[in-house]
Amino acid sequence: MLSAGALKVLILGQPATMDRWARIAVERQAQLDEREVYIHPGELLDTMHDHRLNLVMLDVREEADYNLFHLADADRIPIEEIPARIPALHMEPANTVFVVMSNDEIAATECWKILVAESIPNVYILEDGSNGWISTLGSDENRLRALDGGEVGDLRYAFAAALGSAFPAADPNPHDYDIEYTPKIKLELKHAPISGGCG
Amino acid sequence: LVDAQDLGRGTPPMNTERACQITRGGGENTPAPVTVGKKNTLNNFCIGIRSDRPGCTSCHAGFVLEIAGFVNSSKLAAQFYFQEMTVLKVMFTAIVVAMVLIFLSSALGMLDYNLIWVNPTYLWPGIVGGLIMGIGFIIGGFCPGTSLVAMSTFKVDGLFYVLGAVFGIFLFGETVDLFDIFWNSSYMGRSTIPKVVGLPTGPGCPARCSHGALHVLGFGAIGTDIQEERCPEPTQAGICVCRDALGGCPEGPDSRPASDDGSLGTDCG
Repeated sequence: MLSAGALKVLILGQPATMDRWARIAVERQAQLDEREVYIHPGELLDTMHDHRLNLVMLDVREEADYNLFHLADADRIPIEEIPARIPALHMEPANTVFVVMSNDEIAATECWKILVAESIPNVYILEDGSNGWISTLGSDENRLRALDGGEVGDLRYAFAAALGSAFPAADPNPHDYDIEYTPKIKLELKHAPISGGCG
Repeated sequence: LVDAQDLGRGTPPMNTERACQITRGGGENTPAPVTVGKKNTLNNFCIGIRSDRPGCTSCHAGFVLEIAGFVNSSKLAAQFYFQEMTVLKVMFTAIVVAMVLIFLSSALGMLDYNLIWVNPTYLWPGIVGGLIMGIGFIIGGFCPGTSLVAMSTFKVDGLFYVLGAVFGIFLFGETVDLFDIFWNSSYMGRSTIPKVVGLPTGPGCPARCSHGALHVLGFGAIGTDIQEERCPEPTQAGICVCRDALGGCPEGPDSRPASDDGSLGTDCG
């Protein structure tokens, strides 16, 4: 019976990320459609300064855009490398909130689907991505200017220099802003192991 | 271990290994033949199971450890001398069964493997800790779980083992700052065999299952050889009298060793 079970595992294999997404797509797609997981830049700013939470920001943009501007402490990770990072993300503490971002929302939403399919808890998307962040919190920055037009997924700002997170807008002081937003982050606590090891 | 005169009378001959059953709780008048044998060892315990009802899990695990006879320090320590293979066989069987069920459930969409907690690997501290625990296991005759079960069944050696473990925990807590760099070194995160060897889980599962089966069969053969050596001539009913691995009776200070030739039904119960 054991061998039959093992053989069945061999035949069936383990579900790939897209298989896992297909199983939860109905429920989770509704969250996307209702925009329940898109958080306002103001909420992300508050979360960045909420020391009760462990915030992990994943920036899935191209390296060139990341070098131009990125939020302080945001990790750049190409979307194709996300699956390899999953085990490490699972090891983050229980109070971790993951926020994925791209220039707009398209790539970040794809990344969100992968993370959610792989059962990473508390994953949110930055509303309108880096463009939304800059328009909300970096509009008074004089070393950048807004671009007209551009394609979907492009950064809609031109920068005087590629300063990365050295722009003040990359790590603004929350006390300088009075932003109203609808809080969406709800911390889903995972349970730490309560037993284990030999006997 | 067994009262051959009582247990064997009138029963058909059995092979040596099967005959070496364990009697528990019995005296000369209550042979109480029982329970530990290959067919009774497919219990999943002692492998870090989790539950929403930890009390139930603990109770079940403790109960199974007890009925499996793992509260007997002689039996547990004998594993390290390759004279008593029950522990290895039970554990390996449990691991392989759990592995197949986990990955089968995952393949069928009944279980989310990513949500199963896997202890993060700290390689070298883990190796050192394993050695320390192994030495403690040999010296004390218990692992932490079985010592608690033994203590709860009023075994004095279990009580002292638990006290020693508590003292060790205290000592560790007081000194860990002295070696915390080593303690947190060689971190490998959620490290599993498929990840380490680079095999997908599908082909890896039957491979490891076969590997485990070979181990169990192999160690079973070793165990049988040893049993046969200790019980060269089974009694008329095919039941031999077995001594425990350390040469004495495992079931308490008032028990008496079996005779060397295995022909005399000395009660070790």
